[in-house]
Amino acid sequence: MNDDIRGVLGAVLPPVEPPTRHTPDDLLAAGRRARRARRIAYASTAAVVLAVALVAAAVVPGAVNHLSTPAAAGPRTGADYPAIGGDQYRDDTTGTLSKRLRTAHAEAAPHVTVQPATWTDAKGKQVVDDLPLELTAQVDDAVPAYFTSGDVAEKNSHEELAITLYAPGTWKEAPATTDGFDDNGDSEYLAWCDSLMPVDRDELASAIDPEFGTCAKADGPGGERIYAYGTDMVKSASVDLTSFTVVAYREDHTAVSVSNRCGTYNEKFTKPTCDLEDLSYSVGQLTDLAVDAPSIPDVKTK
Amino acid sequence: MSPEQEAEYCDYVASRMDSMRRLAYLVCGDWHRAEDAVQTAFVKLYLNWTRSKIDSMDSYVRRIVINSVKDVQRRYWFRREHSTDDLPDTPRPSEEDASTDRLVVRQALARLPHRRRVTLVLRYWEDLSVEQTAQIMRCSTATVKSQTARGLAALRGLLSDSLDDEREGLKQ
Repeated sequence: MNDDIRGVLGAVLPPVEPPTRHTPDDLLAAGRRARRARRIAYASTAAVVLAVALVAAAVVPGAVNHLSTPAAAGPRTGADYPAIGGDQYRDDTTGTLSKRLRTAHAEAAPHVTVQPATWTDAKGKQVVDDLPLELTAQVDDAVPAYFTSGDVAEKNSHEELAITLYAPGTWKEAPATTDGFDDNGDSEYLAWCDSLMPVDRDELASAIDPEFGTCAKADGPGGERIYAYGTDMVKSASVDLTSFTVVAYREDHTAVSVSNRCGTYNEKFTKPTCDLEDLSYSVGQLTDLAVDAPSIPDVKTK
Repeated sequence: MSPEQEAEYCDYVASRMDSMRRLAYLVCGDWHRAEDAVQTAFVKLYLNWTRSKIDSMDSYVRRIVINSVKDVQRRYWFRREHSTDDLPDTPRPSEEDASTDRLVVRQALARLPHRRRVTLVLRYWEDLSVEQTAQIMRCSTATVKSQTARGLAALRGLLSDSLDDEREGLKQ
């Protein structure tokens, strides 16, 4: 039987496969570049941390003692918090984006006609609400609630603002490469970073380095731990994707991700049109949106 | 990495490139995505080369390829969500590609849920054991068995439906 099934699968492959675009030497060069970028990113972070420590030691003599204190704890994860049980479900989940958030949205992209908001559960089910920027849905346990403003582009490319709320227990707070997948093949990490740069909140934008996968981290006004990062991905012949994303891990053990993404895809291999500077939202505006995003209502027991 | 290690790396890449491309293609059904996934996988392999053990290397690379396919699919989100007034050009299959059987099987495979497709490809195309497949997919052997059984049943159903449709078409 195995040979039969292998034959069926083999029938999918064409008799003549397209030639590969990469030689071993190309991949070797790409690997070297990736390693160099990672080292530079780590070195930059280490240099800043060292500079901050030295300044602290000079200004606050007692601070030098803290330098030898072991780290209090590793990154927190959603799994550290009580997860929603299997017999529980969230019903009639509603959330309304604040007036400030609506204003920020309108200011960031005045050319945009906001489409009806939708919640989408992880299975792709959408519930369309008549009211823009208001959310309503029934979502399963531990499934991130997803809201998107729809297309916010007036360019040839597609741009969108996505606000995703994550329930307790559904995320991990850690910078991670895309190796961080769970058993279902989904990423548990909300921020994809190769390195982390701690900064003040108003310095988040300048500390992001998409090329080297450097995320910026700052404290929010309500005790949130805010990560910001950018992606300037793929740049292959036909595909381009740029984005700025801000993730806020909140004191109520939920998390919110706000992402402004722009993508181009075309089969004709023309030049991609999305650049980071073309995105409608600044990192500061995305941070405001993340801080103001609605909370996830209490879980009801069925 | 020392020059000797880089030479070993290049030899390994050269020997596995084609088989990994096929694996990625069977999982995602798109040569461009397969190519991107394999590139990502081999770059990650380079970054971990000194830690890699030769005997477990194939398994390691297969796992990165499978994960990279998923990652590459994420990058293509806009392709799925982009709305436009113009209908997209439908790629015309080439002569070699136009085999009815191939199109039927490809469509049936594409309709399987991602994990079942991955399970079938690893079990029957890569000829891996249940345990090896579970290790790559990071799940239990029971999950591999159930995904295999359901995947095979679904594939049989999809293929017989397609063939029935084809026969109906010939009668008319």
